[in-house]
Amino acid sequence: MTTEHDQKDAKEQLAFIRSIMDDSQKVLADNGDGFIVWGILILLAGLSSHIFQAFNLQQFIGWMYLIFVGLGWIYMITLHKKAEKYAIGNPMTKKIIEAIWTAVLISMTILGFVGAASGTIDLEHLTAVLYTALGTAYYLQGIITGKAWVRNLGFGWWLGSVILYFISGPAAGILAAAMMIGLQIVPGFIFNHQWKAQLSED
Amino acid sequence: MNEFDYQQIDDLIHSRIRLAVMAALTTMGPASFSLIKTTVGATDGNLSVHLRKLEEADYLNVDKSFIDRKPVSIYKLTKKGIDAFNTYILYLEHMLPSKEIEG
Repeated sequence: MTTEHDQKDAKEQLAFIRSIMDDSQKVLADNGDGFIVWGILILLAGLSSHIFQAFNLQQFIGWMYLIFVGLGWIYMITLHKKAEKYAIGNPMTKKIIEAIWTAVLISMTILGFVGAASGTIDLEHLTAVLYTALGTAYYLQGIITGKAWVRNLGFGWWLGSVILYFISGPAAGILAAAMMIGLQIVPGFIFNHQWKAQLSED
Repeated sequence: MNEFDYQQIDDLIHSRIRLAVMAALTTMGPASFSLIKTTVGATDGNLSVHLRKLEEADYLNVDKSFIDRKPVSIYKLTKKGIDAFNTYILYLEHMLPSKEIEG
């Protein structure tokens, strides 16, 4: 027969288990390579488009973007899939974050290529549209993993995209590149650093 | 409810740190030593002892590898460990009146 003391003990143990499980729910760390690779590819694509424009090769810009974005997707399907096995965290959280990024990347690919090719989205402000979508992914990842700084990156993307809707030319190019470095590539290295720290034996 | 034997409870899991390790691994899936340490809030030495006990009981297994030439140990619950943890929870729940479990 269980005594009142046993019941109290059981209740405490269950509460303890629940608190540990709640704390563990939000844990997530991957090596950040996706952020770094995509960031560098888009940065290179942006830089190349300026070079193409300088040499009057505008007609090839679309193809150039197709190559860079294609490389990004090839990377996601091959090397990133392999790296995923070292990602740390709750399987369901991982699945949700992965789904968010896949959905946002597909949306961005459609907006970027179909939106631009159909003429629906003005090429001058295409980056603003894409960065708005990117902000959504960062915001959701920050909320789901309980990381305020990642959520704030989302606000950074949104704020930057609002500015990009109103400017164009070299100023827009510089801002877009700065955002890609500061809000994507640098965070990628931070993710990588945190991931290594969580794997470290020290 | 009254037929429940409190003495049958799994002592290996009943320890606070080992229970925390089992709960954390159940939620997180495979995890590194330092991540478990952060989640559980134990010291290196203490945690190593408890992890070894769970490993010896075949409740978890460890996959040792190298990333960037640094050793990495990833701990994962075994089927036996998952079953033991679930049974332990059931034992605890059986000790409480049903209305408290629902709450």
